[in-house]
Amino acid sequence: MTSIRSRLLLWIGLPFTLVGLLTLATSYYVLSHQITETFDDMLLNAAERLERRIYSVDGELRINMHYFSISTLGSRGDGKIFYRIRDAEGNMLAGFDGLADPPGDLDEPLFYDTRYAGNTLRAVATTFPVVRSTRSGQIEVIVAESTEARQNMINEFLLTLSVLIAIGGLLAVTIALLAIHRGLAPLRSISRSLRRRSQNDLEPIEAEVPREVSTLVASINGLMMRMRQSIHNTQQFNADVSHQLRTPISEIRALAELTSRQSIDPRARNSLEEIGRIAESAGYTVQQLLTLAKARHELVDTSAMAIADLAELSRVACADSISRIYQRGQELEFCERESGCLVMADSVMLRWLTQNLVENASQHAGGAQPYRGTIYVRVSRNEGAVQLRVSDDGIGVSPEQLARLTERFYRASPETPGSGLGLAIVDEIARAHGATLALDSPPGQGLTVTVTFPQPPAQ
Amino acid sequence: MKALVIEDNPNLATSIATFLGEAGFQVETCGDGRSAEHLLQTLSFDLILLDLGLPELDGIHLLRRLRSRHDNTPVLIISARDALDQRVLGLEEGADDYLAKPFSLVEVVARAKALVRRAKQFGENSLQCGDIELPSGSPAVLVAGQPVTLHRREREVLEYLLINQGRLVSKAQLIDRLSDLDDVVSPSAIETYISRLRKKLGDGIQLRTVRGLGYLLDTKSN
Repeated sequence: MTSIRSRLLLWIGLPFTLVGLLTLATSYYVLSHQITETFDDMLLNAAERLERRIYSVDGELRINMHYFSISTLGSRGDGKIFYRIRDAEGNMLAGFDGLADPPGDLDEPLFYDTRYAGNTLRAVATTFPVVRSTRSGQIEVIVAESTEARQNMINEFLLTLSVLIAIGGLLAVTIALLAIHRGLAPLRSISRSLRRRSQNDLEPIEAEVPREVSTLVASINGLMMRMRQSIHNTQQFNADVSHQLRTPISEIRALAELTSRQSIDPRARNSLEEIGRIAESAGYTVQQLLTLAKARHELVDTSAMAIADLAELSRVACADSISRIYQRGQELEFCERESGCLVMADSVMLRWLTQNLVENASQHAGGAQPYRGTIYVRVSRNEGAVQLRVSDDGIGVSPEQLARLTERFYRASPETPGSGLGLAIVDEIARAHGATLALDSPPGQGLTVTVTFPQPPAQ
Repeated sequence: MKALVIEDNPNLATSIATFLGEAGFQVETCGDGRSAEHLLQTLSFDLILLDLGLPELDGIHLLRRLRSRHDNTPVLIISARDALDQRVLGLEEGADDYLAKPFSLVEVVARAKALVRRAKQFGENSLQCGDIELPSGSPAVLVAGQPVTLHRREREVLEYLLINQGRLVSKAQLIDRLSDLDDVVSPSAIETYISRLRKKLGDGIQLRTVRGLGYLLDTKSN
């Protein structure tokens, strides 16, 4: 779709050009009319002055051309003058015989266009009575001048006018551009403020806007409100599902644990312990599903974002996981390369992210076998970008698997327990923080997951 | 030790009560907020297990009222709500620990014991972990019944680790605990105390170093 700017330019520029052309055409018409009239008057004047030069010698009419020069407007410069004078009987008195006869009766001076000797001419033909001593009679005078002077004059006028119109037009376009620029400023400021927002910011636009844009802004705000409402509903639904599923799963797990302790039949105890484990894993999956839903990057509430120390958050997350790690016979090593690694983060989510990475390494680093090595958690700063790196010394994953690890429910080793959601959650949380996730598994060197955070805005 | 289990789900209440009973607690159970409030005003307990989603009176309100009465009975929250957010909420309102459903009953008992232990850390009881027993007031620690003499600092470190067994204890926490205005303990001193403790207590202690994070006294003797 064409931009508002080009539309406005078109709708200002097109009528202006038309008006300019119309002005030019009208001016041409009026000017050429005026100039023709003025020049014609002069031409007639010249013809009339010729009369005074006529005298008679022995009854014959003569013209004294000696001191006479025909001066008209058109004869200045390169203009050429032709004339023909005849008496009533049609005898040439003076001038160019070849000039054509006038195209009509000469009751009054007649102006007409003609050609002579390759020149385009404007001619006037007139008759007047001549009374010189004994002789009297009518003589016919034709004076013709070349049209270049008229044409030049018109052209000069038109050129000046065109230049003026062009200058005016350019000025108008400049003013229009400036006006468009100023006029569109509120729109630009709205789009700028929308662009500056993080993608999850659904707060209404608060800016002062002109009346014309206010309905648009109101609609955007309405849309944002509906989105927020729908996100709120989704989250409420999640909370409800969470409650409705977790309580029965807890019951199953607790009762299995209780009955297993009270039972003396070893087979029953085995089954009950298995039921307990299944319930535990179901509970874990429910938790992970809800975490994933909550972490969906488009649903993240930015009001929870604040500057936080990544090392501190990771430390808390590691402390939460540490007893599970040791129970599985694994070690954990935490390393804060540089202090003050600050990120813009939702601290609760970032803890999930770290916990999921550690848990993922803990559960899957060994492949089908339980992992018995160390999980390394490292926080560092690299050219302003803060990085969280979780790696292990496990069997690693193949390049084909690597590409699919962040898919929901994809599991590289289906025989190990897990929900298949851990890295999908990590991916969602990373995206919600504008961070990038990189998975790397060089052959024989385990899996390394690197989350690179953007620099937090300076405060 | 008396514990009050406030949980509206009868299956969960019974299971928790049974496990706590086996662990040596005298347990009362209660299914709604109002009667829990009444019980708490008339009787005193050493521990409260509190479900957040209760009929009549919400768990958080109950906790708030309890704390506003300056009742410092340790509270362990059990809830089906979203783990991390509510954890923050409960802990800010004065709960001492939090367990999200579904939990293991063994875990409930371990946390319950830890809370009581922490509440009574300067009390008359002795602290225990595996083969180690630290009777309060005595300068010696018992390792499998045999007394081993400890330096004052070593004893303080061990005491803190025993109180927080099963949890990560950072070096900073130990420094905080051991230092006073006149005597600031250095990180390397902590390392020395830890290594001496390991030597003196031998295999009787599962004291792990978590590199970059701190120390963990493992409750499970492998």
